[in-house]
Amino acid sequence: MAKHQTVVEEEEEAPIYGDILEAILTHVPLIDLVPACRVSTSWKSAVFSSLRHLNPVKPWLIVHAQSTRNPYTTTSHAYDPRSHVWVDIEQPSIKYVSTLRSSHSNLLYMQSPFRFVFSSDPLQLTWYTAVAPLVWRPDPIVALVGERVVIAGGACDFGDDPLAVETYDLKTRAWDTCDDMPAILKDSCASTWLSVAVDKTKMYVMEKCSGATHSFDPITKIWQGPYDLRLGQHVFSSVIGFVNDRMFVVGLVGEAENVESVKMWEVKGEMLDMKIEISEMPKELVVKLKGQSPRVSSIGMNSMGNFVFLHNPSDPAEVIVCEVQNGGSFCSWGSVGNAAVDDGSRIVMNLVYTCANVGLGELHQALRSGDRRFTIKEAME
Amino acid sequence: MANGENQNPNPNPIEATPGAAARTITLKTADGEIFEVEEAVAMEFGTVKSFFEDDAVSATKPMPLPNVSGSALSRVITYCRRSLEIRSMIPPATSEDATAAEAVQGEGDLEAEKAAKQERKEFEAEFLKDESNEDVKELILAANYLNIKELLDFLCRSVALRIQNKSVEYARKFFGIEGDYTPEEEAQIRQEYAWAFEGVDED
Repeated sequence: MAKHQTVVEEEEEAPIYGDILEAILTHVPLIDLVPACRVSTSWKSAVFSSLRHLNPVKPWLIVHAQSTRNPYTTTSHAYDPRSHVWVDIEQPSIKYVSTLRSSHSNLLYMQSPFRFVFSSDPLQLTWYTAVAPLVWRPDPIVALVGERVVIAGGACDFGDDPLAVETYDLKTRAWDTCDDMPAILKDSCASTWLSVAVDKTKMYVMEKCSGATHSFDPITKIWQGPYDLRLGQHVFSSVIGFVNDRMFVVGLVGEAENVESVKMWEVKGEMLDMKIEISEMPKELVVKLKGQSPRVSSIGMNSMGNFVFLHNPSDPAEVIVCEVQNGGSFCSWGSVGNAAVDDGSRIVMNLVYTCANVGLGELHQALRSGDRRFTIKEAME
Repeated sequence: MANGENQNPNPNPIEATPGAAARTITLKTADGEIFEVEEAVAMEFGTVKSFFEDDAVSATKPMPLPNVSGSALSRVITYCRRSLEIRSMIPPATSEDATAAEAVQGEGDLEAEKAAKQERKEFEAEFLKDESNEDVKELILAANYLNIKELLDFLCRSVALRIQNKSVEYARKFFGIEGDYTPEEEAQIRQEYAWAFEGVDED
C-alpha cells in the first residue's frame, strides 16, 4: 500500500510549512505540541526544530494542593514558563498515606509509622513504597541523592535519638543506619528550620536563619561542615538550591517584619567559601512576594535547569520567577499568580512545590499511561 | 482610503530618499490591484522599506508584490494603519533626568500604555473575528512575504490559539495537510492518543 504524499498542495489551499510553521509552533503550549507531532512527519520535524531553535522547553513549577480533609485528594497545577500558562493535571488520587511533603525541588514524599512513599520523576508517574525507617520522625530532613534516600533528624525527643540518620538503598530496598548528624544541628534538625539541596553525590543542609551549611555523602556516610554560606550579616533567612548544577543561595535581607530586599548569589569552591552575587529581586516583585503577610520568616525555593521559582509560604498568592541567563550575567525576573491559591474559597490546602524538566518525552509517557489529562487553565490576569 | 481602487499608476511623484516629503507609495498586487499607501504605513512593510532604501530604485513606478493578493493587502494595510495609530497613543519615553513634573508625566505614560494595550487587544480580537481559516493563512503568508514582524507575530499567536486543545484531525484540516504516517503508525497513534483525535473542544 503506497504511502500518502506529503503536503498535497492545491491552488486554493495556502501551504504553511517551514519557517512560518515553526514560528506558529513557538506559540503553541507544550501539551498541544504532543498532538502536533502526530499531524504529519513534516510537522513532527517542525515541532522539534521549533523547540530546539526558537522557543525551547523550560522547567515547570508544579504546585500540589492536598486537601486537609478526608479523602485528602490532591490536585496539581503546573506553570509552564515557555508559554506562560498554567496547566491543570488530572491524575488518579495519590493514595493517602499522610501529609504530602517535598524536598529539594524534585522529591515528593509521604511517611507514616509503617510506610515511606516517594516519587521523584517529573510528573510523579511512579511512586516507590518502602517500609518505614527504624526511627519514627514527625518532621525529618528527606533527600534523594543518586540511588539513596536519606532521612535525618526530626525525631521526637522521647527516647528516640533526635539526630538519627538512615539511608535507603533503592537497589537493595533496605534501610541502613548511619552515625548521628552533627550535634550542632540538634536544635534545628527539622525540615522547618532547614533548607535541603542535592547534587549528584551529596545532600546539603542549610540552617535557614544562620546560613550554616553541612553536606552529607550517603555512600561514605560522612558529614562535612559547617560552612557559612551567607552573603553579609543582614541576611536573616536563606535557602539553598542548584541552578544548572551550580549552588545558589537566595537570602532575605532586613528582618521578617520588614524585608528590604531579596538577593541571589552563587557559592563556589571546595570549601564553599566563594560567594558571588548574581542578582537582586526587583523591588516591585519583593512587594508581590510579601503579599498580605505581616512577616516573611522564610522563602520557598524551587529550582531546575536555569529557572528559580520563589514563593512566600505565609502568602503564596504570587510566585516569583527568575530565569538565569548567560551563566548568571543576566537574570530576568517576573511573577505569576499562583493557580493553586483560590481566593474565593476558604478551603485550607496543603501546598507542596516541585520543579521538573517536562519535555515532549515526559508528556508522551504521561499520556500513554492513560490516566493523566492536561488542561490549560483559562488565562489569569 | 486607498483600498483597491483602480487608479492611474504614478499619481504622486516620490523622491528616492526615505523620510523625504513623499506622502504615499504605490503598490501593485498579484491580481493587478493598485494601492496608494501612506509612506508611514508602507514603511511598516520590511520588504517595501528595503526596496525603497535602495537608491537606484526609481520611485515612479508602483512596487510589484507578486505574492500578495488585493484582499490580503487591503487587510494588511488596515492592520498596520491601526497599529500605528495605537502606537502613537504612547508618548515617547521620558528623558533620563526626571524632574518632579516629568515623574508625574511618567504615571500618565503608564496609563497611556495600559490604554494602548487594551485598545490593541480589542482591535486584534475584532480584526480576525470574521476571517476564515483560509483568510488567516493567506494573511500569514502575506505578512511573512512583506516582512511585517508585528502582524506576523499576532497572526502566529492567533493560529496557535485556534489549533490549541483541538484534535489532530482539526489541525490537518486547518492547514490542508494529509497525514503521511503509514497506516500501521496511524493506527498506533489513534490508539495511544484516542483523546487527541476526539478533540477536547468542539471543532
